[in-house]
This record gives sequence, structure tokens and C-alpha cells, in this order.
Amino acid sequence: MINRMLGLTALVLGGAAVLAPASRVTDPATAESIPAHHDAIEAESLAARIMENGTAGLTLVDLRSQSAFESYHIPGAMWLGAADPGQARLPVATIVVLYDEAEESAARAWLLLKAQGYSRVYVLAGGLAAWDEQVLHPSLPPGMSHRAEEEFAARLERSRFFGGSPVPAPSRPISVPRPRPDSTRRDKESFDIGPGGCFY
Amino acid sequence: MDLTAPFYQAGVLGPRSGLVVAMLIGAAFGFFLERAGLGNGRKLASQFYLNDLTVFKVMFSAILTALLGLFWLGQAGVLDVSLILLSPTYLVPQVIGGLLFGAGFVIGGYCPGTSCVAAATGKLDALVVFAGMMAGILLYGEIYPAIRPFAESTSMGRISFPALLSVRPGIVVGIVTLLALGGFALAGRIEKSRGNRLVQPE
Amino acid sequence: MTTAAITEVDQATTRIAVQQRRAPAPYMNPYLAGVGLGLVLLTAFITMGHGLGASGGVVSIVGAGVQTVAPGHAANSEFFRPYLGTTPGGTLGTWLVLELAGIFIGGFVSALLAGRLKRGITGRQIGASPRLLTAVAGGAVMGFATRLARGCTSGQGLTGGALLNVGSWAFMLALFAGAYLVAGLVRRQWT
Repeated sequence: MINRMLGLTALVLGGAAVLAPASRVTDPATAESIPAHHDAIEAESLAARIMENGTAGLTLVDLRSQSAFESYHIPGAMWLGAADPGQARLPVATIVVLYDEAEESAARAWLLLKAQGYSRVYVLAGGLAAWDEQVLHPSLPPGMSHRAEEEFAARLERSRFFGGSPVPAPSRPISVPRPRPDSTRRDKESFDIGPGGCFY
Repeated sequence: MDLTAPFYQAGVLGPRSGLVVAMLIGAAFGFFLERAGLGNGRKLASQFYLNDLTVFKVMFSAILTALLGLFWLGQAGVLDVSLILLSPTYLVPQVIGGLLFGAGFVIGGYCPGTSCVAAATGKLDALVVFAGMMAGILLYGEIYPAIRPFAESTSMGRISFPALLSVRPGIVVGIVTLLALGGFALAGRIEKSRGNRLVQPE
Repeated sequence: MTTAAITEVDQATTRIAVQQRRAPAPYMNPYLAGVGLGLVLLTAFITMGHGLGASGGVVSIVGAGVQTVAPGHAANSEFFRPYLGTTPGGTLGTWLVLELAGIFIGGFVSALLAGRLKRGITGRQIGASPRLLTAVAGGAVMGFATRLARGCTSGQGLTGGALLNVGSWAFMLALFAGAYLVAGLVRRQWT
């Protein structure tokens, strides 16, 4: 009796599933959205940490394309190749910092790593674009105070440390190649899977 | 409706409260395994002599329940299924692993989860299976550099059947439902034809 | 009724009561238990965003063991290194280890309530020592296989099955094939 009821329920739910329209999470637009929640680290605090202690205790992961990685990466960063960041075996005992051009694929990788039990994982806030603007090419606002000038001197030092070139006035930085849009959506061509990879 | 689940990914659940939840979920898991009789090695092994197909029945009714639940919660917009972790497929290593696992299962009499349940209920052999399992994992870890190229071969990424076949998930859900229900009916007939030699608690 | 008869009835009732306490309760309807397990799995998906697992927790336990015995060796091990470290509760404070502990507790409670706690060795008709030998051998083969397959009946079978994961279904089919192929060799132990 119970078995029949269970079987009938399963049959109804399973049969209706065939007729159900594709659910909204399988819609590529939603499935590729950035996870709402992730932990981030500001470019300036990351830079300060690297200048003080080097990359000891840090695992920097560059999620961009190989050519982008070769033309510039944060010193000490590793490139995972075409590997799925969720499958990479990263040292658990370190703080993992993920970055890409903006934040999109890093946020997804953050989710995958968290789901696998990595506890200290951060996304570089604003991605390499923010790093570029705040660390490599800090700009000197015109007409600034003496104190600001001193601060800026420290920034210049930091910029040189990371191989950047400070610009005296707000303008477009030039020496670092800007992210190419083609490498941002890593799994788009494969299928419309979400960050966890589950599809249905 | 806003998608609010999975709670951990949505930030509702922190890492520490996650650990408490994990233990509670594990306890409920162990409870139902024991209730079904899957803490009994003879019942587990009887699956492979076609005398008692409880393993199949429990396993596939659990899969079907979770499958239908996931699908319809996703449809209702309560659960963002795309955030659920799907483990990547390495086809050949997983098939070889499955064959070895099945062999070890019937020789040892328990799978990892059920060995814990049986050990908890006082079965010494289950505890020994658990110890053997630790030895097997240790061995794997020690020879890992040599075996790694094979273990990482035939990688297909994170892939599920709807994606593989490029069909709507609901269609696969419907097919699996029919297969499972057909399997249950068949299991009942097999047990009956073997004289209902179901393993009872001792 | 005579006093003797009353005493006799009394004794009989006591015997039945003792027997009832000792007789283990029958197992649950497998389909209901399956639905229960499925709902537990669904709860895991909803709360944690991933399914159940058992063998993954064992890896952390083995890793912690290696770390204690030979810390340098563990730190250099390509396989164990990623499992060691600083999750909130150390190497053993991971979801999978705590879930494994939970399985142990849940199984104990269920058997206690049903009167099914009983010390012993299953499959001992081949003799206790041979049986413990098959147990350790089977366990070792299975443990090795879980790493090749990246999961067991819980992590691949139930979880991957419900997620329609391609590798998990391949694993499950192979599992049943492997078990049916080898079952003849150990028939004496189980039937």
C-alpha cells in the first residue's frame, strides 16, 4: 500500500518533470551570474602584505588566459592552466587569493573552493583592473596636499616594487595590457553550467 | 521568488555552523542506513546473490527522492541548482574504480558508510573493513605520483546527463523515474522467485 | 486462580517481556528508508550545496594519521598535502569527517532503539580469522578504489546519482558489475 503510494507519487512527479519547461536556473543568463556572496581582499592590502612578507603563506591564483598571465601577473602568482579551479589541489594551509580581470570567474572559483572545504579563500576585489589602477598605476590628483604627496611617495615605491609605472595625473595606464574580453567567460563555450557545475 | 538555497553558498550558513549541520546530516544518514538493515553485512552481500535486493531498493529510492526534490525545488525557484557542487568526471579511472570497489564491497561485506554503521552496532568485521579501507587509501596516497597520470586521464569536466545529451533536464528526470520504478517492480519479482529469502535482524 | 497458577502466569509474562526486549525489531520498509535517505540527501544539498560522502572523510583521517606519525612525509606528499591544514577545526575539522562521525552516532542510536546492538562478526561461517582476513582485504581494495573513483556509494552513488552526474552513473554500473563478477568467489562467506 505504502509502496504503491510512493511509486505513484514518483510517477506523477517524474512524468510532470518531462513536461515542465526548462527551469530558470538553466537559463544561461542566470546560471552565469556571479555568486552573491564571496570574501574579497582589497588590492592595496594585498600589495602591502606581499611587500612585507613576500608570498609566504599566500597562494595567488591567476585565472586569466595564458597569454594574459605571461604578459603580466602579480609576482608569485600561479597559473592553473586550463584546469578547473575547483579541481586544483591548492595548499590548504595558505591563504588563497584568486584573481581574474574583473571578479567574475574568481567569484565562481571562490565558491568551488569553499565548497571543497578551503577555509581561507579570497577574491581580489575589483580583479586585476583594480590592481592595475590602485597599485601599478596610482595617479596623482592635481593640487594635492603635502600629506597626500607623502602618501603618494609610498604608493610610487609600491608601484615600482610590482613593476608598474605611476602616472602623475589621472589618465589611462598604458604599460599593462588590458584584459581581453575573450578570456573572461571560461566555461561559456562548454555549456551553461553554474559555478557549482550542476546543471538542471 | 528569490533563490535562497543552498544556504552555505548564499552566506546564510558560516563554516562553523556548517560543521554542526554536517554532523546532524551524517547522523540522520547513519540512522536511515541502519533502519533499512544496511548495517548488516549479510543483507548487503545478499544483493549480489539476488536473494535480498534491499541495497538496490534503498539506493534508488533515495536517488529518486533527491532527484525529484532537486528538480522541483529548482523549478519553484527556491534552490539555485547551478550552485550545487558536481564532481568532475574521469571516465576510465571511475569505471576501473567502480569495478574494484564492487569487488572489495562483496569481499569485505560493507561499503565505507555502512561499515561505520555496522561498526557502531558492534560488528568487529566492519571495523576491520574500515581499517582495511584506511590502508588502501594510504597505499593510494603513497603511490599517487605514479598513478596520477592514469587517475587524471579521460577527464570530461563537470558534466551531467542533460548537458551530455543536450536535452532538457526534465526529460532525463522522467527517464530515470521510469527506470527506477521498473527496477523496483523487477526487484520484487526476483525476490519472490527466489522464495523471499530476505535477511532478518539477528 | 491458585497462587501457583498466578506465579506461573507472572513468570510467563516476565519471560515474554524479556524476550520482547531482546528480540530485534524488524528492518524498515526499504522504500520508506530510501525516501528518508533521499530527504537527508536533499537537506544536504539545500543547506551545504553538496551531497553526502563517507570515503572523503576517511582520507582526512588517514592524512591526519600520516601527519602525526611523519609530519615531513605528509607535507611532501602530493596526495595528502591538500587535505592537511587549517580548516576551522584543523585537518579533522572538515564537513566530511564530522559527517562520518555523525553516521557512526546515527547508526548506533537507530540500532539501540530497535534492539539491534549486538557484538559479533558477520559472515563468520568461514571461521572468524578467515573472515577478518577477507574483511581487511576487501576494505583495502575498496579504499584504494574510492580514490580512483573519487567517491564511494555515498559520494558518487547517491549524491552523483541524484545530480545525474555522468561519472557517478558509470561508477555505479561498474560497481554492480564488479560485485556480481566476484560474488561467486566468496559465496561460502555469505550464503
